[in-house]
Amino acid sequence: MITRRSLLLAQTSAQSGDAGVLALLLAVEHAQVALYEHAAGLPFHGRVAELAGRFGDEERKHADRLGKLGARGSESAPPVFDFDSESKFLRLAQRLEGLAVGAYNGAIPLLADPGLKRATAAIVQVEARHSAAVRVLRRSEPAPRAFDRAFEPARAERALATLLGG
Amino acid sequence: MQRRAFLAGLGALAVAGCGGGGGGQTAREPTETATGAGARLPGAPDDAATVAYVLKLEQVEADLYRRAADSGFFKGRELALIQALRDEEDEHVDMLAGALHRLGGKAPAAPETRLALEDRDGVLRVAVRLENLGAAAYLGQLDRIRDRDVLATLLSIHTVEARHATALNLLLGKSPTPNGAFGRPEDMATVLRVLDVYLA
Repeated sequence: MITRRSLLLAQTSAQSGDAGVLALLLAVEHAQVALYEHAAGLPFHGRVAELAGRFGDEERKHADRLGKLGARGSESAPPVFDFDSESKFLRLAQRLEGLAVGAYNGAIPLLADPGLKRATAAIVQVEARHSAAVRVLRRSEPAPRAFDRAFEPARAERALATLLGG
Repeated sequence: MQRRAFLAGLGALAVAGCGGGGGGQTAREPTETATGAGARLPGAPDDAATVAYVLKLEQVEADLYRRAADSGFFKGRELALIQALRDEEDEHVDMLAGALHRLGGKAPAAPETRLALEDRDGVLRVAVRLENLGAAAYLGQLDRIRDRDVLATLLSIHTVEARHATALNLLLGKSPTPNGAFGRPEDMATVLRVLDVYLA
């Protein structure tokens, strides 16, 4: 269903420290951008179309910000999604936004640079808002637990690989 | 290592224009009452003070949802949402009180609230304001936390506050991301001034 997942992940493991953490977060953002771009090209309507457009713009801004902060990802092509229905899109969006929240929450305590902590915390808040909004659209609980999970980078990377079809 | 983190925190404070809170500008700031740590440098990161501060926010939110759930204004899915929010805020209060205890502080009694809850819309207006304020309040503190476990705890609550805010924003026909792609932090003094409106 989704191809070229190796794209994003190839360089995340190769970097260490703050650079490795940022590379993982950039990989998550690139996957989200690809998801919403694919959705924006489909004849979706109403709130789903509005959400895909808005959230796609916001994920692109996240990726740009991470790049300006020094994040370096793979030179490979971005992931390709091939879903064609609103329900498949929203299911993937729920998984990916939830993964993003966990990835950031696990990554932020590992960052040494306070400026990076501040910048990534401002992003994870919006990832959580995206996650909740998608869940509401799917008539799911917006906050399924009182404490959001935090994924260690290796776990987040594996989860992303699985979601991208690896 | 701790010294390095401490100095890094001070640097962050300077960049932020001392807006992160704990600066001793207002009588309501909980630094000394929470920890008895009056010897700290003014404006220095103080995890216990930060935890006491967000605990106060959570106590007010928990009180709001307890009253809202018992008000009779909500039915069906909306009531289920209010009850879920109440239960999660109660869990936040318990977790933060425990964290404060581990840091050597003592959890303050829940503040007396003054919440004008006259109808459904009134409750939701207060709730949406408090949840968005809460998300901004956590965000304003996250780069100042020294202890990694405390930071992990606050991060895990910060994103849940953002989820709550979003659910309420959508219920009221507002944008799920009112500040666009990046959450906007709020400093402690500003948050406490807003919170004052809801305290007796």
